[in-house]
Amino acid sequence: MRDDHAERFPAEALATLDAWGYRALQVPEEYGGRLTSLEELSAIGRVVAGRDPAVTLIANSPLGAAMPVWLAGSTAQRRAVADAVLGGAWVALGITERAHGADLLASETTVRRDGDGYLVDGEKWLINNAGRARYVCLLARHPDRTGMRSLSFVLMDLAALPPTAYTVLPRITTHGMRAAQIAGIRFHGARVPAGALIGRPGSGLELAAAALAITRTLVPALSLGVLETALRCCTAFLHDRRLYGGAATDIPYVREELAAALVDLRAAEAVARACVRAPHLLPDLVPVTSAVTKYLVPRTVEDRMRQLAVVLGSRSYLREGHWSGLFEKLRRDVTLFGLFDGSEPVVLSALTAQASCLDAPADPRRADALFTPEAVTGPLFGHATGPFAEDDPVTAGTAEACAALARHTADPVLTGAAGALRAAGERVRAEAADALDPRSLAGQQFADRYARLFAATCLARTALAAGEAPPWLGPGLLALLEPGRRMPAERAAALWNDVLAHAATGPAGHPGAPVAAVRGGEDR
Amino acid sequence: MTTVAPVRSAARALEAHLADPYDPALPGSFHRALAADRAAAFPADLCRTVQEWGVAELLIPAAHGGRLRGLEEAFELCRVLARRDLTAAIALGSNLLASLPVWLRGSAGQRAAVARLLRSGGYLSFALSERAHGADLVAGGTTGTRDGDTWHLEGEKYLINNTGHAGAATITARTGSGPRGLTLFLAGLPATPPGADAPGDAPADSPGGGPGWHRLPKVATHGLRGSELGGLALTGLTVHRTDAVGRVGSGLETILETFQLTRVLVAGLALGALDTCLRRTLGFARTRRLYDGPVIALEPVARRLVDAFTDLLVGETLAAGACRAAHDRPGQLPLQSLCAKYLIPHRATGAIESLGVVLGARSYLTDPQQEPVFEKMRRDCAVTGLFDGATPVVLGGLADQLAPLAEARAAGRPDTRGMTALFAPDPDGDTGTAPLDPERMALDTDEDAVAAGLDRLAAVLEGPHPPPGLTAARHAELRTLTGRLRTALAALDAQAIALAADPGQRRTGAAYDLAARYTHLHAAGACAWRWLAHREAAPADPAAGPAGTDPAAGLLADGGWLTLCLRRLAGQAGILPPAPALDGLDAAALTTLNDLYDRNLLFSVTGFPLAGRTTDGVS
Ligand SMILES: Cc1cc2nc3c(=O)[nH]c(=O)nc-3n(C[C@H](O)[C@H](O)[C@H](O)COP(=O)(O)OP(=O)(O)OC[C@H]3O[C@@H](n4cnc5c(N)ncnc54)[C@H](O)[C@@H]3O)c2cc1C
Ligand SMILES: Cc1cc2nc3c(=O)[nH]c(=O)nc-3n(C[C@H](O)[C@H](O)[C@H](O)COP(=O)(O)OP(=O)(O)OC[C@H]3O[C@@H](n4cnc5c(N)ncnc54)[C@H](O)[C@@H]3O)c2cc1C
Repeated sequence: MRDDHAERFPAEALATLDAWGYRALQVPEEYGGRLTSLEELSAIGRVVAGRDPAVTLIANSPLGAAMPVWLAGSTAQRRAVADAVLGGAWVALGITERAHGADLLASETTVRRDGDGYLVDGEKWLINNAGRARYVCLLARHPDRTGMRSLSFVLMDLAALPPTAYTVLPRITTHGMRAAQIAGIRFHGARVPAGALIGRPGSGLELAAAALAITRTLVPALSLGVLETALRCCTAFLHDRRLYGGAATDIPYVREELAAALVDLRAAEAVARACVRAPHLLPDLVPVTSAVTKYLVPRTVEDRMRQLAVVLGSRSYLREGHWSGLFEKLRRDVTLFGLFDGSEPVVLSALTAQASCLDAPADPRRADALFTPEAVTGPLFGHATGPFAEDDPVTAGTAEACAALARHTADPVLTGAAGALRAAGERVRAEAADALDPRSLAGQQFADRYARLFAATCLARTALAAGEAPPWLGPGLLALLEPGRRMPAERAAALWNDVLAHAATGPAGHPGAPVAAVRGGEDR
Repeated sequence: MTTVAPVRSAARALEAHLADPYDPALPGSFHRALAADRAAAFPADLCRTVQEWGVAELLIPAAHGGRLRGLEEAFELCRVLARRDLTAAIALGSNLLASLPVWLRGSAGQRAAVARLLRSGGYLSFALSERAHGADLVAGGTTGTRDGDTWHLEGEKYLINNTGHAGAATITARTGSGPRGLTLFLAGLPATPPGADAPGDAPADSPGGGPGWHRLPKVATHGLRGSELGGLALTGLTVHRTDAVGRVGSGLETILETFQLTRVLVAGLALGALDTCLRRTLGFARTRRLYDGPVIALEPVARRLVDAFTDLLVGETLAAGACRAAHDRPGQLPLQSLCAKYLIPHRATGAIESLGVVLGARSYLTDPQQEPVFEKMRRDCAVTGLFDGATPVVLGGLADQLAPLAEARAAGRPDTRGMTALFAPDPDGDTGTAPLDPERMALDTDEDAVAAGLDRLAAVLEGPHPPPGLTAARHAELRTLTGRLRTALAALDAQAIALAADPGQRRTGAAYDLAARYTHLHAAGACAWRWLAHREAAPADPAAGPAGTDPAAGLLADGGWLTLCLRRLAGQAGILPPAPALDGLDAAALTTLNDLYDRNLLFSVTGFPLAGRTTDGVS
């Protein structure tokens, strides 16, 4: 937290993570690291994010930024990056340009043939780790090409460039994630060897989509870590707060809000878990799973954080005092997750573009492995058949899952939720037949409904696979399908012990010292 | 030329005085506000400029020797100052908050003392909250002990604005038991230089103090970082018998009366912040090009802009009615101020979040090169839902009133006399200017004359032929909307009565959700009155009045403004599903919005010219 207030790179916290071995998780096992499972990485990242999301963002950047290399790089490129990362180097991902944002095809940075190599010119802006990174995976345009195949990724090894070949632009400070070092980088006729291109020439756009699909899959864990800690932080305060002759947590509204936060957490984590398995187990479906999880988990968490700020009251506004003002830091950090690596409208557009997968018949069994209680591993980054999912074996199982839920439960909330889920499935399937413009309002509204259907189906199928119907399941399904709807007060009351148990346990340890960086207690 | 109504002339003059917000050399510039925020420094230059301009006279009611004629005037001042810097607006607003109890209930001597302090450029604190006691006002632990002609005050006040530099404070202390055991005291806090002459019992980190009291250190906050926010330690501060504001034991009542007034002003703060955020985002959306066109051409972007604009239009309507009610229908004020305090900050912060999606990465940057005013406003505006009655407290207060309001509606029509005047576009000189009279103020409202605007509207829209100025399609849509809103209100009334019958439902989420929904229907009534008042003022002659000069005039005349507001409120109340596409009315709203931007007018239905430039061109 001191690093946050001082806008300082969190060197100490990162060194602690390195010493623990976090860095090895940034490199696949085949190349000398310890990464075999994105699910495992997410679980660990979530714990760290519950302490400090900014540290996690930085600690996860070597893998995320080098994703084009892991997906399409040559063996030599992979070895070089792996060795550098394991040796302590940082990597940056240079996609965004100041004037073009999400419109990648408008990139002005160029990679131009020059003898047996290439010359790179142009500027990338808002780049995490610019100024620290040894490697930059840079998206650039071949000036002699136009259209979808005009871009390539280039692996820029800054250590091999003369200092005159690039300029790191001044650091840009941010609302949250203040410890991160965001800046721009400009290349001026930087000469790179022919072997610096990542994958086939002209494959940049596709590769960007594939790489972002994986990084989008990893973001939700960070959101979940934040919500987990924020809920503990609020519960601890309100439990001890005296109002109207009792504890603040004796007020039904307060209990309901905290219970709703727990339901959101449980529901969102089921979605994130199913989706993080897809790159291993169902790579064809990653264009869908990545969009669903990147849209819905950060959205759900951000909305809930806003509600929790209301429940917490003035303490949500203070940068000191209760838990050293941790909530205030989390609320700033968490808003990044919906914004970067594909903002909400961009991710929704990407999902609308997948709508045709709903028209094809699919075998729900193909998706079973996403939902089993035990983690299932597969190849680290499986090979997708293309940028579009052919079918959707997850929601192909919606009706079946609804029937199974309804058959096995006497819980009226769950029965109602199963009915709502079935209806949502029918509606989305019917709508998928209209070809919608992904950038239109109707297109975005469709994507929102599809994402909610998909997510709720993930939750339902996960519960069925575990053979469990906890009391939060019905409310959880409804929270995904119809956000903002309040669960019955009796159900919130029934969940109260779970809220207290959550507050008392978990990776954040005992209340009062949840964050490594606030070991010193109050920060002033 | 746009004409400015008398109630807005003070705000207009202040705006002109502060001049171009994009000139970094000026104290009223965004640049300076951002620099102060970044350094967590008080925006002293801006406040001094505003004080030199004469704001003190507008913090003093005309009845007590100043120039403030009505709450609406103060509301508009809040709005124009807040659009530049909420920290400054709230520091000066806290002066009004702290002095209102004295204007309402104080003695002539107290009034003179407060006026003197304000005119000398000083600050006051309203010291109610305590570390261990927030909304539970009667639980406060600060005590006042009588000793002959004096009182000794002991306790700690925490999270109090202006304590870093206040020359006086209105302090709430317990002087007896129960709700009638609170008393407000006006206590002078003479400035002693920090450090050197600190009294014996003040700790070293105290920014100053005097005999029996000291200032607590500045509290670091999410937004308003430059505020002199802190607290007061009272270690036996001695005040005189005559320093009690009003009767001993009347503190709670006075606080509740004060909040009725300031809660409406908080809405002005939120609307000022939203104006700036909308202006910044609109500027970006017009110039940013993606996929071979401006971002504003993307339908989802246009939707967010129109929605934020509509939230602003609804907010100013609701607030203006509440301001005037304080003077002309004080019995309505308890309800109106609760509705305004919940709905306006809630919708403004929501709209700002939504605009943040459009602004994308730029909403997240604090870098001085990136014109990060949005980022600052977003943090600052988040406070508006917290103080002077936090959201749960406001909803709780409303929830308790819903059943009686429903019964009044069932029993017969609320008294709607004078309601159109309350919502007239440009009130004449006398509307909303009768002196504030605490004896006419009530602690709650027993009938909702504002929501009754929907009934009047329904009557006007009755019959097969559209009223003059409305197309058949618009007429039909308005009739449907009005019908649905009234049906929803009837359903809500039934639910409220059922909930009230079950004591287990007090302070439940269900009760608060109902209250939140009610504020939307109440606001729909306010919009209805506003539109009806407009028709009375400018009877269907588009050539008359300011039409053609005010960009929004056409939208008002053809029912577009009303339809837009009612659609939005119905959507927010869950009565209308979101439309799958933009239609002609949305396009007209966007045109109006762009027109206001191009002509550098406040985003408002009344043409209010702003000073200087709209943007400095950063995008
Ligand atoms: C802290 C931080 C770190 C970052 N780190 C990196 C990094 O390491 N590497 C990197 O390459 N980038 C990075 N970025 C950039 C980030 O990914 C960009 O924010 C992103 O590319 C979007 O650009 P933009 O925000 O400028 O919005 P734009 O793309 O300009 O979009 C503006 C608005 O247009 C609308 N819009 C755009 N597309 C659509 C659509 N398809 N449908 C509907 N509406 C649409 C949306 O409302 C959008 O918000 C970072 C950003 C931040 C804030
Ligand atoms: C920037 C800033 C400036 C301020 N300036 C001043 C000032 O100048 N003077 C001053 O006196 N105070 C000031 N305050 C204090 C502020 O008004 C109080 O903090 C406020 O009254 C709420 O108290 P609390 O947040 O401590 O929460 P509490 O009242 O303790 O409540 C904690 C939580 O309990 C729940 N709760 C409480 N009551 C209810 C209810 N009725 N129904 C349901 N749930 C409920 C809510 O979830 C609430 O968030 C300021 C605060 C801030 C942040």
